[in-house]
Amino acid sequence: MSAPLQSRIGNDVPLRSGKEELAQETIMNCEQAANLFDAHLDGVLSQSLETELAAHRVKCAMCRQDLALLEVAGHVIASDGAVDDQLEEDFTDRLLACIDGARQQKDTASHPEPSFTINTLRLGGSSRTARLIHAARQLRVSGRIRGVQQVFLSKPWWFGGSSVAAAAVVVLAFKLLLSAPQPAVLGVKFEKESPDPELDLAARSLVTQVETTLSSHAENASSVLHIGEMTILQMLDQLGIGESEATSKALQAPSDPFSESEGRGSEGDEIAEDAGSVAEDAGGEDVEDL
Amino acid sequence: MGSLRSNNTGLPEDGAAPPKGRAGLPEGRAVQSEDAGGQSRDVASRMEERQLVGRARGGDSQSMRKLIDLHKDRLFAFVRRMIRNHHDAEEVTQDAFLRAFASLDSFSTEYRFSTWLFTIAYRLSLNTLRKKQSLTGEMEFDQISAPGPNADTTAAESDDAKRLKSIVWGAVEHLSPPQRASIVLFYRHGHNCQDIAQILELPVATVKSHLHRARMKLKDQLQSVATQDASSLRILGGLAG
Repeated sequence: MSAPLQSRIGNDVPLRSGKEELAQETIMNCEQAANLFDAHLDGVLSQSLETELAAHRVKCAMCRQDLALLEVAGHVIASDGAVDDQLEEDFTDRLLACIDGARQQKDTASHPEPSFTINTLRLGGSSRTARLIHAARQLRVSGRIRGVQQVFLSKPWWFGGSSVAAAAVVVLAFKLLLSAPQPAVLGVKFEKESPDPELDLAARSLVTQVETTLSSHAENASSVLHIGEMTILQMLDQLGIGESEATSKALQAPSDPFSESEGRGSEGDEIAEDAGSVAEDAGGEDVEDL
Repeated sequence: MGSLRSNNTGLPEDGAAPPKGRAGLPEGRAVQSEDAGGQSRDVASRMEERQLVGRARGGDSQSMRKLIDLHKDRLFAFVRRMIRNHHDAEEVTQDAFLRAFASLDSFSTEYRFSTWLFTIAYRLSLNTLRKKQSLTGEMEFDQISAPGPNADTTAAESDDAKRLKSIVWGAVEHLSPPQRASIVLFYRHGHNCQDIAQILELPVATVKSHLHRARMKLKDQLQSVATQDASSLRILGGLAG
Protein backbone atom coordinates (compact mmCIF):
# COMPACT_ATOMS: atom_id res chain seq x y z
CA MET A 1 0.00 0.00 0.00
CA SER A 2 2.32 2.68 -1.17
CA ALA A 3 -0.19 4.75 -3.08
CA PRO A 4 -0.99 8.19 -1.66
CA LEU A 5 -4.17 8.37 0.34
CA GLN A 6 -5.79 10.74 -2.18
CA SER A 7 -5.33 8.39 -5.08
CA ARG A 8 -6.59 5.39 -3.15
CA ILE A 9 -9.92 6.86 -2.19
CA GLY A 10 -10.60 8.54 -5.50
CA ASN A 11 -11.06 12.15 -6.47
CA ASP A 12 -14.55 12.37 -5.04
CA VAL A 13 -13.45 11.80 -1.49
CA PRO A 14 -12.73 15.01 0.38
CA LEU A 15 -9.66 15.18 2.50
CA ARG A 16 -8.97 17.77 5.07
CA SER A 17 -5.35 17.89 3.96
CA GLY A 18 -4.38 16.96 0.47
CA LYS A 19 -0.76 16.77 1.46
CA GLU A 20 -1.17 13.83 3.75
CA GLU A 21 0.02 10.51 2.56
CA LEU A 22 -0.29 7.15 4.09
CA ALA A 23 2.81 5.07 3.83
CA GLN A 24 2.42 1.35 3.55
CA GLU A 25 3.73 0.63 6.98
CA THR A 26 2.14 3.59 8.73
CA ILE A 27 -0.64 2.87 11.14
CA MET A 28 -3.57 5.19 10.58
CA ASN A 29 -3.74 7.96 13.16
CA CYS A 30 -6.91 9.65 14.40
CA GLU A 31 -6.66 12.63 12.07
CA GLN A 32 -6.22 10.43 9.05
CA ALA A 33 -9.10 8.26 10.19
CA ALA A 34 -11.33 11.29 10.66
CA ASN A 35 -10.51 12.39 7.13
CA LEU A 36 -12.09 9.18 5.90
CA PHE A 37 -15.30 9.42 7.90
CA ASP A 38 -17.30 11.20 5.18
CA ALA A 39 -16.16 8.84 2.46
CA HIS A 40 -17.00 5.93 4.74
CA LEU A 41 -20.45 7.31 5.46
CA ASP A 42 -21.03 8.12 1.78
CA GLY A 43 -20.11 4.56 0.90
CA VAL A 44 -17.39 5.56 -1.52
CA LEU A 45 -14.35 4.37 0.43
CA SER A 46 -12.30 1.63 -1.18
CA GLN A 47 -12.39 -1.80 0.41
CA SER A 48 -8.79 -1.60 1.56
CA LEU A 49 -9.30 1.74 3.29
CA GLU A 50 -12.52 0.48 4.83
CA THR A 51 -10.49 -2.31 6.35
CA GLU A 52 -7.85 0.07 7.64
CA LEU A 53 -10.47 2.35 9.09
CA ALA A 54 -12.11 -0.62 10.76
CA ALA A 55 -8.76 -1.65 12.21
CA HIS A 56 -8.25 1.84 13.60
CA ARG A 57 -11.73 1.84 14.97
CA VAL A 58 -11.15 -1.32 16.92
CA LYS A 59 -8.12 0.19 18.57
CA CYS A 60 -9.31 3.76 19.13
CA ALA A 61 -12.20 4.37 21.52
CA MET A 62 -12.53 8.03 20.55
CA CYS A 63 -12.87 7.38 16.81
CA ARG A 64 -15.13 4.43 17.57
CA GLN A 65 -17.51 6.71 19.43
CA ASP A 66 -17.35 9.46 16.80
CA LEU A 67 -18.21 7.05 14.05
CA ALA A 68 -20.92 5.46 16.16
CA LEU A 69 -22.53 8.86 16.70
CA LEU A 70 -22.35 9.71 13.01
CA GLU A 71 -23.77 6.36 12.00
CA VAL A 72 -26.54 6.55 14.55
CA ALA A 73 -27.58 9.99 13.32
CA GLY A 74 -27.78 8.68 9.77
CA HIS A 75 -29.62 5.60 10.95
CA VAL A 76 -32.28 7.61 12.74
CA ILE A 77 -32.81 10.04 9.84
CA ALA A 78 -33.02 7.24 7.31
CA SER A 79 -35.25 4.91 9.25
CA ASP A 80 -37.60 6.99 11.34
CA GLY A 81 -40.59 7.05 9.06
CA ALA A 82 -42.95 7.98 11.85
CA VAL A 83 -41.91 11.61 11.81
CA ASP A 84 -43.29 12.36 8.38
CA ASP A 85 -46.67 14.00 8.22
CA GLN A 86 -49.11 12.87 5.59
CA LEU A 87 -50.75 14.94 2.91
CA GLU A 88 -54.50 15.24 2.91
CA GLU A 89 -56.17 12.41 1.02
CA ASP A 90 -57.71 14.71 -1.56
CA PHE A 91 -54.43 16.47 -2.30
CA THR A 92 -54.17 15.10 -5.85
CA ASP A 93 -57.76 15.99 -6.71
CA ARG A 94 -57.37 19.50 -5.39
CA LEU A 95 -54.09 19.94 -7.20
CA LEU A 96 -55.55 18.74 -10.50
CA ALA A 97 -58.43 21.16 -10.07
CA CYS A 98 -55.91 23.97 -9.56
CA ILE A 99 -53.96 22.89 -12.64
CA ASP A 100 -57.16 22.86 -14.66
CA GLY A 101 -58.09 26.32 -13.43
CA ALA A 102 -54.61 27.64 -14.13
CA ARG A 103 -54.74 26.16 -17.62
CA GLN A 104 -58.04 27.86 -18.36
CA GLN A 105 -56.67 31.16 -17.12
CA LYS A 106 -53.61 30.68 -19.26
CA ASP A 107 -55.73 29.89 -22.29
CA THR A 108 -57.63 33.10 -21.81
CA ALA A 109 -54.54 35.15 -21.08
CA SER A 110 -52.69 33.66 -24.00
CA HIS A 111 -55.05 35.37 -26.40
CA PRO A 112 -53.97 38.98 -26.08
CA GLU A 113 -54.96 39.24 -29.71
CA PRO A 114 -58.53 37.97 -29.59
CA SER A 115 -59.53 35.29 -32.01
CA PHE A 116 -62.55 37.31 -32.99
CA THR A 117 -62.54 40.93 -32.19
CA ILE A 118 -64.94 43.74 -32.33
CA ASN A 119 -62.41 45.91 -30.67
CA THR A 120 -63.06 49.02 -32.60
CA LEU A 121 -66.77 49.09 -32.12
CA ARG A 122 -67.34 52.49 -30.66
CA LEU A 123 -70.22 54.67 -29.93
CA GLY A 124 -69.51 58.16 -30.97
CA GLY A 125 -69.50 60.50 -33.88
CA SER A 126 -72.14 60.91 -36.50
CA SER A 127 -72.14 57.36 -37.67
CA ARG A 128 -72.23 55.70 -34.28
CA THR A 129 -75.60 54.10 -34.81
CA ALA A 130 -74.60 52.85 -38.17
CA ARG A 131 -71.51 51.32 -36.72
CA LEU A 132 -73.42 49.49 -34.08
CA ILE A 133 -76.03 48.29 -36.51
CA HIS A 134 -73.42 47.17 -38.93
CA ALA A 135 -71.59 45.31 -36.24
CA ALA A 136 -74.80 43.55 -35.34
CA ARG A 137 -75.41 42.72 -38.96
CA GLN A 138 -71.98 41.31 -39.30
CA LEU A 139 -72.84 38.82 -36.64
CA ARG A 140 -76.06 37.89 -38.32
CA VAL A 141 -74.92 37.46 -41.87
CA SER A 142 -75.72 33.94 -42.88
CA GLY A 143 -72.89 31.74 -43.93
CA ARG A 144 -70.75 33.57 -41.45
CA ILE A 145 -72.78 32.49 -38.53
CA ARG A 146 -71.41 28.98 -38.70
CA GLY A 147 -67.95 30.41 -38.48
CA VAL A 148 -69.03 32.48 -35.54
CA GLN A 149 -70.35 29.44 -33.77
CA GLN A 150 -67.22 27.43 -34.39
CA VAL A 151 -65.04 30.22 -33.16
CA PHE A 152 -67.33 30.82 -30.28
CA LEU A 153 -67.13 27.28 -29.04
CA SER A 154 -63.47 26.70 -29.63
CA LYS A 155 -61.79 29.94 -28.76
CA PRO A 156 -62.28 32.78 -26.36
CA TRP A 157 -64.18 35.75 -27.64
CA TRP A 158 -63.23 39.23 -26.83
CA PHE A 159 -65.46 42.18 -27.18
CA GLY A 160 -64.08 45.61 -26.93
CA GLY A 161 -65.23 49.14 -27.36
CA SER A 162 -67.22 51.17 -24.98
CA SER A 163 -69.09 49.38 -22.25
CA VAL A 164 -72.54 49.81 -23.77
CA ALA A 165 -71.36 48.82 -27.22
CA ALA A 166 -69.63 45.77 -25.87
CA ALA A 167 -72.69 44.82 -23.87
CA ALA A 168 -74.86 45.20 -26.95
CA VAL A 169 -72.76 42.83 -28.98
CA VAL A 170 -72.43 40.37 -26.13
CA VAL A 171 -76.18 40.19 -25.74
CA LEU A 172 -76.75 39.80 -29.45
CA ALA A 173 -74.03 37.23 -29.92
CA PHE A 174 -75.22 35.09 -27.07
CA LYS A 175 -78.78 35.34 -28.27
CA LEU A 176 -77.67 33.96 -31.59
CA LEU A 177 -75.77 31.18 -29.93
CA LEU A 178 -78.16 30.32 -27.18
CA SER A 179 -78.51 26.79 -28.46
CA ALA A 180 -74.77 26.20 -28.24
CA PRO A 181 -74.09 22.93 -26.48
CA GLN A 182 -71.32 24.40 -24.36
CA PRO A 183 -70.73 27.85 -23.04
CA ALA A 184 -67.96 29.73 -24.70
CA VAL A 185 -65.16 31.48 -22.91
CA LEU A 186 -65.94 35.14 -22.98
CA GLY A 187 -63.54 37.98 -22.65
CA VAL A 188 -64.87 41.47 -22.59
CA LYS A 189 -62.46 44.31 -22.82
CA PHE A 190 -64.03 47.66 -22.15
CA GLU A 191 -61.81 50.10 -23.93
CA LYS A 192 -63.53 53.13 -22.63
CA GLU A 193 -66.36 54.07 -20.40
CA SER A 194 -69.68 55.11 -21.73
CA PRO A 195 -70.35 58.81 -21.21
CA ASP A 196 -72.97 58.21 -18.57
CA PRO A 197 -71.48 56.61 -15.46
CA GLU A 198 -74.77 54.93 -14.56
CA LEU A 199 -75.09 53.44 -18.01
CA ASP A 200 -71.52 52.35 -17.91
CA LEU A 201 -72.10 50.53 -14.68
CA ALA A 202 -75.32 49.00 -15.97
CA ALA A 203 -73.64 47.80 -19.15
CA ARG A 204 -70.81 46.16 -17.27
CA SER A 205 -73.22 44.57 -14.88
CA LEU A 206 -75.32 43.32 -17.78
CA VAL A 207 -72.33 41.68 -19.42
CA THR A 208 -71.43 39.99 -16.15
CA GLN A 209 -74.98 38.79 -15.73
CA VAL A 210 -75.19 37.41 -19.25
CA GLU A 211 -71.83 35.78 -18.93
CA THR A 212 -72.69 34.15 -15.62
CA THR A 213 -76.06 32.98 -16.82
CA LEU A 214 -74.74 31.40 -19.97
CA SER A 215 -71.67 29.85 -18.47
CA SER A 216 -73.80 27.98 -15.99
CA HIS A 217 -76.33 26.91 -18.63
CA ALA A 218 -79.05 28.44 -16.58
CA GLU A 219 -82.56 27.70 -17.76
CA ASN A 220 -83.45 31.34 -17.75
CA ALA A 221 -80.73 32.28 -20.23
CA SER A 222 -83.30 33.15 -22.83
CA SER A 223 -85.17 35.56 -20.62
CA VAL A 224 -81.93 37.09 -19.37
CA LEU A 225 -80.91 37.74 -22.94
CA HIS A 226 -84.29 39.20 -23.79
CA ILE A 227 -84.08 41.52 -20.82
CA GLY A 228 -80.53 42.30 -21.81
CA GLU A 229 -81.62 43.20 -25.30
CA MET A 230 -84.30 45.53 -24.00
CA THR A 231 -81.84 47.07 -21.60
CA ILE A 232 -79.41 47.77 -24.38
CA LEU A 233 -82.07 49.42 -26.46
CA GLN A 234 -83.05 51.61 -23.53
CA MET A 235 -79.45 52.51 -23.00
CA LEU A 236 -79.03 53.49 -26.60
CA ASP A 237 -82.14 55.62 -26.39
CA GLN A 238 -80.91 57.21 -23.24
CA LEU A 239 -77.65 58.00 -24.93
CA GLY A 240 -79.59 59.53 -27.77
CA ILE A 241 -78.08 57.19 -30.26
CA GLY A 242 -79.96 56.80 -33.52
CA GLU A 243 -83.42 55.57 -34.11
CA SER A 244 -84.68 53.02 -31.69
CA GLU A 245 -86.58 51.26 -34.41
CA ALA A 246 -83.57 50.76 -36.62
CA THR A 247 -81.42 49.67 -33.76
CA SER A 248 -84.06 47.31 -32.53
CA LYS A 249 -84.37 45.81 -35.96
CA ALA A 250 -80.69 45.36 -36.23
CA LEU A 251 -80.45 43.73 -32.87
CA GLN A 252 -83.19 41.24 -33.55
CA ALA A 253 -81.77 37.82 -34.04
CA PRO A 254 -82.98 35.93 -37.10
CA SER A 255 -85.38 33.08 -36.44
CA ASP A 256 -82.80 30.65 -37.73
CA PRO A 257 -79.44 32.19 -37.19
CA PHE A 258 -77.69 29.39 -39.04
CA SER A 259 -79.79 29.50 -42.18
CA GLU A 260 -78.14 30.26 -45.49
CA SER A 261 -80.99 32.50 -46.59
CA GLU A 262 -79.57 35.77 -45.43
CA GLY A 263 -76.70 37.25 -47.26
CA ARG A 264 -74.64 40.24 -46.52
CA GLY A 265 -77.34 42.65 -47.38
CA SER A 266 -76.94 45.71 -49.39
CA GLU A 267 -78.37 47.69 -46.54
CA GLY A 268 -75.44 46.69 -44.44
CA ASP A 269 -73.07 47.73 -47.14
CA GLU A 270 -74.76 51.05 -47.49
CA ILE A 271 -74.49 51.60 -43.81
CA ALA A 272 -70.89 50.55 -43.97
CA GLU A 273 -70.30 53.07 -46.64
CA ASP A 274 -72.03 55.66 -44.60
CA ALA A 275 -70.09 54.77 -41.54
CA GLY A 276 -66.72 54.95 -43.13
CA SER A 277 -64.40 52.26 -41.94
CA VAL A 278 -67.14 50.10 -40.58
CA ALA A 279 -65.90 46.83 -41.98
CA GLU A 280 -62.67 47.29 -40.18
CA ASP A 281 -64.45 48.40 -37.05
CA ALA A 282 -66.81 45.50 -36.93
CA GLY A 283 -64.20 42.88 -37.52
CA GLY A 284 -66.75 40.65 -39.18
CA GLU A 285 -64.35 39.75 -41.92
CA ASP A 286 -62.37 37.75 -39.47
CA VAL A 287 -65.18 35.34 -38.93
CA GLU A 288 -64.92 33.51 -42.20
CA ASP A 289 -61.21 33.11 -41.88
CA LEU A 290 -61.54 31.63 -38.47
CA MET B 1 -38.83 -1.47 5.46
CA GLY B 2 -38.90 -0.96 1.74
CA SER B 3 -35.99 -0.56 -0.50
CA LEU B 4 -34.49 2.87 -0.74
CA ARG B 5 -34.69 2.79 -4.50
CA SER B 6 -38.21 1.69 -5.00
CA ASN B 7 -41.67 2.59 -3.95
CA ASN B 8 -45.07 1.15 -4.40
CA THR B 9 -45.51 2.92 -7.70
CA GLY B 10 -42.90 0.90 -9.49
CA LEU B 11 -40.78 3.87 -10.35
CA PRO B 12 -37.48 4.50 -8.61
CA GLU B 13 -37.45 7.29 -6.13
CA ASP B 14 -34.53 9.17 -7.52
CA GLY B 15 -32.37 9.48 -10.52
CA ALA B 16 -28.67 8.91 -10.55
CA ALA B 17 -27.17 5.85 -9.02
CA PRO B 18 -26.50 6.24 -5.34
CA PRO B 19 -23.31 5.15 -3.67
CA LYS B 20 -22.60 1.48 -3.44
CA GLY B 21 -23.39 1.34 0.26
CA ARG B 22 -23.75 3.67 3.18
CA ALA B 23 -22.52 3.23 6.66
CA GLY B 24 -25.11 3.78 9.30
CA LEU B 25 -28.11 2.95 7.17
CA PRO B 26 -30.36 0.26 8.53
CA GLU B 27 -30.51 -3.01 6.75
CA GLY B 28 -32.98 -2.93 3.92
CA ARG B 29 -32.41 0.75 3.34
CA ALA B 30 -28.89 0.04 2.27
CA VAL B 31 -28.42 1.12 -1.29
CA GLN B 32 -28.88 -1.54 -3.87
CA SER B 33 -25.96 -2.56 -5.94
CA GLU B 34 -26.25 -1.50 -9.55
CA ASP B 35 -26.70 -4.90 -11.04
CA ALA B 36 -27.91 -5.41 -14.59
CA GLY B 37 -31.48 -5.95 -13.40
CA GLY B 38 -31.48 -2.73 -11.44
CA GLN B 39 -30.15 -0.79 -14.41
CA SER B 40 -32.72 -2.18 -16.82
CA ARG B 41 -35.50 -1.43 -14.33
CA ASP B 42 -34.20 2.10 -14.04
CA VAL B 43 -34.10 2.53 -17.81
CA ALA B 44 -37.65 1.18 -18.11
CA SER B 45 -38.95 3.44 -15.39
CA ARG B 46 -37.25 6.46 -16.92
CA MET B 47 -38.88 5.65 -20.23
CA GLU B 48 -42.22 5.37 -18.50
CA GLU B 49 -41.59 8.67 -16.78
CA ARG B 50 -40.73 10.33 -20.09
CA GLN B 51 -43.93 9.01 -21.58
CA LEU B 52 -45.92 10.32 -18.65
CA VAL B 53 -44.27 13.72 -18.91
CA GLY B 54 -44.88 13.78 -22.65
CA ARG B 55 -48.56 13.03 -22.19
CA ALA B 56 -48.85 15.51 -19.34
CA ARG B 57 -47.35 18.12 -21.64
CA GLY B 58 -50.23 17.49 -23.99
CA GLY B 59 -52.63 18.15 -21.14
CA ASP B 60 -53.46 14.54 -20.26
CA SER B 61 -54.80 14.78 -16.74
CA GLN B 62 -54.44 11.04 -16.06
CA SER B 63 -50.71 11.28 -16.66
CA MET B 64 -50.56 14.34 -14.44
CA ARG B 65 -52.40 12.42 -11.75
CA LYS B 66 -49.94 9.57 -12.01
CA LEU B 67 -46.95 11.89 -11.80
CA ILE B 68 -48.44 13.62 -8.78
CA ASP B 69 -49.19 10.35 -7.03
CA LEU B 70 -45.68 9.10 -7.77
CA HIS B 71 -43.92 12.01 -6.16
CA LYS B 72 -46.22 13.85 -3.80
CA ASP B 73 -45.44 11.99 -0.58
CA ARG B 74 -41.69 12.17 -0.88
CA LEU B 75 -41.81 15.77 -2.01
CA PHE B 76 -44.04 16.75 0.87
CA ALA B 77 -41.84 14.89 3.36
CA PHE B 78 -38.84 16.83 2.12
CA VAL B 79 -40.58 20.19 2.16
CA ARG B 80 -42.05 19.44 5.58
CA ARG B 81 -38.54 18.88 6.88
CA MET B 82 -37.39 22.12 5.32
CA ILE B 83 -40.06 24.49 6.54
CA ARG B 84 -41.38 22.67 9.62
CA ASN B 85 -44.99 23.64 9.24
CA HIS B 86 -47.59 21.28 7.85
CA HIS B 87 -49.81 23.89 6.25
CA ASP B 88 -46.96 25.79 4.64
CA ALA B 89 -45.38 22.54 3.47
CA GLU B 90 -48.58 21.45 1.79
CA GLU B 91 -48.86 24.80 0.08
CA VAL B 92 -45.28 24.69 -1.14
CA THR B 93 -45.73 21.12 -2.37
CA GLN B 94 -48.82 22.15 -4.30
CA ASP B 95 -47.10 25.21 -5.68
CA ALA B 96 -44.11 23.13 -6.77
CA PHE B 97 -46.36 20.82 -8.78
CA LEU B 98 -48.27 23.74 -10.25
CA ARG B 99 -45.08 25.42 -11.38
CA ALA B 100 -43.66 22.19 -12.70
CA PHE B 101 -46.71 21.45 -14.82
CA ALA B 102 -47.00 25.05 -15.94
CA SER B 103 -43.49 24.94 -17.35
CA LEU B 104 -43.35 21.34 -18.54
CA ASP B 105 -42.39 22.59 -21.98
CA SER B 106 -39.07 23.80 -20.63
CA PHE B 107 -38.36 20.55 -18.81
CA SER B 108 -35.58 18.48 -20.32
CA THR B 109 -36.15 14.75 -20.11
CA GLU B 110 -32.41 14.31 -19.69
CA TYR B 111 -33.14 14.93 -16.05
CA ARG B 112 -35.41 13.07 -13.73
CA PHE B 113 -38.77 14.65 -13.17
CA SER B 114 -38.31 14.11 -9.45
CA THR B 115 -35.03 16.01 -9.43
CA TRP B 116 -36.69 18.91 -11.18
CA LEU B 117 -39.60 18.85 -8.77
CA PHE B 118 -37.31 18.80 -5.75
CA THR B 119 -35.33 21.72 -7.17
CA ILE B 120 -38.48 23.80 -7.54
CA ALA B 121 -39.68 22.77 -4.09
CA TYR B 122 -36.33 23.62 -2.53
CA ARG B 123 -36.37 27.12 -4.03
CA LEU B 124 -39.93 27.65 -2.85
CA SER B 125 -39.03 26.38 0.60
CA LEU B 126 -36.17 28.85 0.85
CA ASN B 127 -38.52 31.65 -0.20
CA THR B 128 -41.01 30.64 2.46
CA LEU B 129 -38.29 30.50 5.10
CA ARG B 130 -37.03 33.93 4.08
CA LYS B 131 -40.51 35.37 4.28
CA LYS B 132 -41.03 33.89 7.72
CA GLN B 133 -37.67 35.13 8.85
CA SER B 134 -38.42 38.63 7.65
CA LEU B 135 -41.77 38.57 9.37
CA THR B 136 -40.63 37.22 12.71
CA GLY B 137 -37.05 38.42 12.68
CA GLU B 138 -35.88 34.96 13.52
CA MET B 139 -36.46 31.39 12.60
CA GLU B 140 -39.44 29.73 14.12
CA PHE B 141 -37.64 27.51 16.50
CA ASP B 142 -40.78 26.91 18.47
CA GLN B 143 -41.87 24.69 15.61
CA ILE B 144 -38.71 22.73 15.28
CA SER B 145 -39.51 19.86 17.53
CA ALA B 146 -40.07 16.78 15.50
CA PRO B 147 -43.69 16.02 14.74
CA GLY B 148 -45.09 13.48 17.11
CA PRO B 149 -44.52 9.94 16.01
CA ASN B 150 -47.67 7.94 15.61
CA ALA B 151 -48.68 5.48 18.26
CA ASP B 152 -48.29 2.37 16.11
CA THR B 153 -44.66 3.04 15.46
CA THR B 154 -43.73 4.11 18.92
CA ALA B 155 -45.57 1.46 20.84
CA ALA B 156 -42.59 -0.86 20.84
CA GLU B 157 -40.02 1.86 21.36
CA SER B 158 -38.31 2.44 24.63
CA ASP B 159 -38.14 5.87 26.14
CA ASP B 160 -34.44 5.91 25.34
CA ALA B 161 -35.06 5.26 21.66
CA LYS B 162 -37.71 7.97 21.54
CA ARG B 163 -35.34 10.36 23.21
CA LEU B 164 -32.59 9.51 20.75
CA LYS B 165 -34.87 10.27 17.81
CA SER B 166 -35.94 13.49 19.39
CA ILE B 167 -32.32 14.54 19.85
CA VAL B 168 -31.34 13.68 16.29
CA TRP B 169 -34.32 15.36 14.66
CA GLY B 170 -33.99 18.33 16.96
CA ALA B 171 -30.40 18.69 15.81
CA VAL B 172 -31.47 18.35 12.17
CA GLU B 173 -33.94 21.18 12.61
CA HIS B 174 -31.16 23.45 13.85
CA LEU B 175 -29.06 22.97 10.74
CA SER B 176 -28.91 25.69 8.12
CA PRO B 177 -31.34 25.17 5.21
CA PRO B 178 -28.73 23.84 2.75
CA GLN B 179 -27.23 21.61 5.43
CA ARG B 180 -30.65 20.33 6.42
CA ALA B 181 -31.63 19.78 2.80
CA SER B 182 -28.38 17.92 2.13
CA ILE B 183 -28.68 15.64 5.12
CA VAL B 184 -32.37 14.88 4.57
CA LEU B 185 -31.95 14.24 0.85
CA PHE B 186 -28.94 12.05 1.51
CA TYR B 187 -30.22 9.88 4.32
CA ARG B 188 -33.96 10.10 4.07
CA HIS B 189 -34.40 10.16 0.31
CA GLY B 190 -31.32 8.21 -0.71
CA HIS B 191 -29.89 10.80 -3.07
CA ASN B 192 -26.17 10.87 -3.70
CA CYS B 193 -24.07 14.04 -3.70
CA GLN B 194 -24.46 14.52 -7.47
CA ASP B 195 -28.26 14.39 -7.21
CA ILE B 196 -28.27 16.73 -4.26
CA ALA B 197 -26.00 19.16 -6.11
CA GLN B 198 -28.53 19.23 -8.96
CA ILE B 199 -31.46 19.73 -6.65
CA LEU B 200 -29.84 22.46 -4.58
CA GLU B 201 -28.16 23.94 -7.66
CA LEU B 202 -24.80 23.91 -5.93
CA PRO B 203 -21.41 22.46 -6.85
CA VAL B 204 -20.87 18.90 -5.68
CA ALA B 205 -17.96 20.03 -3.51
CA THR B 206 -20.25 22.50 -1.74
CA VAL B 207 -22.78 19.78 -1.08
CA LYS B 208 -20.07 17.58 0.38
CA SER B 209 -19.03 20.44 2.58
CA HIS B 210 -22.65 20.94 3.74
CA LEU B 211 -22.97 17.24 4.46
CA HIS B 212 -19.71 17.21 6.40
CA ARG B 213 -20.66 20.19 8.52
CA ALA B 214 -24.12 18.84 9.10
CA ARG B 215 -22.71 15.53 10.27
CA MET B 216 -20.30 17.26 12.61
CA LYS B 217 -23.12 19.28 14.14
CA LEU B 218 -25.25 16.20 14.60
CA LYS B 219 -22.35 14.33 16.13
CA ASP B 220 -21.54 17.20 18.49
CA GLN B 221 -25.15 17.44 19.56
CA LEU B 222 -25.37 13.72 20.23
CA GLN B 223 -22.03 13.76 21.99
CA SER B 224 -23.02 16.54 24.34
CA VAL B 225 -26.16 14.67 25.28
CA ALA B 226 -24.40 11.35 25.52
CA THR B 227 -21.78 12.63 27.92
CA GLN B 228 -24.56 13.77 30.24
CA ASP B 229 -26.54 10.61 29.97
CA ALA B 230 -25.11 7.15 30.39
CA SER B 231 -28.24 5.52 29.01
CA SER B 232 -27.83 7.35 25.73
CA LEU B 233 -24.39 5.93 25.41
CA ARG B 234 -25.81 2.46 25.85
CA ILE B 235 -28.32 3.07 23.05
CA LEU B 236 -25.67 4.49 20.77
CA GLY B 237 -23.44 1.54 21.45
CA GLY B 238 -26.26 -0.84 20.67
CA LEU B 239 -27.32 0.87 17.44
CA ALA B 240 -23.81 1.26 16.17
CA GLY B 241 -23.18 -2.43 16.75
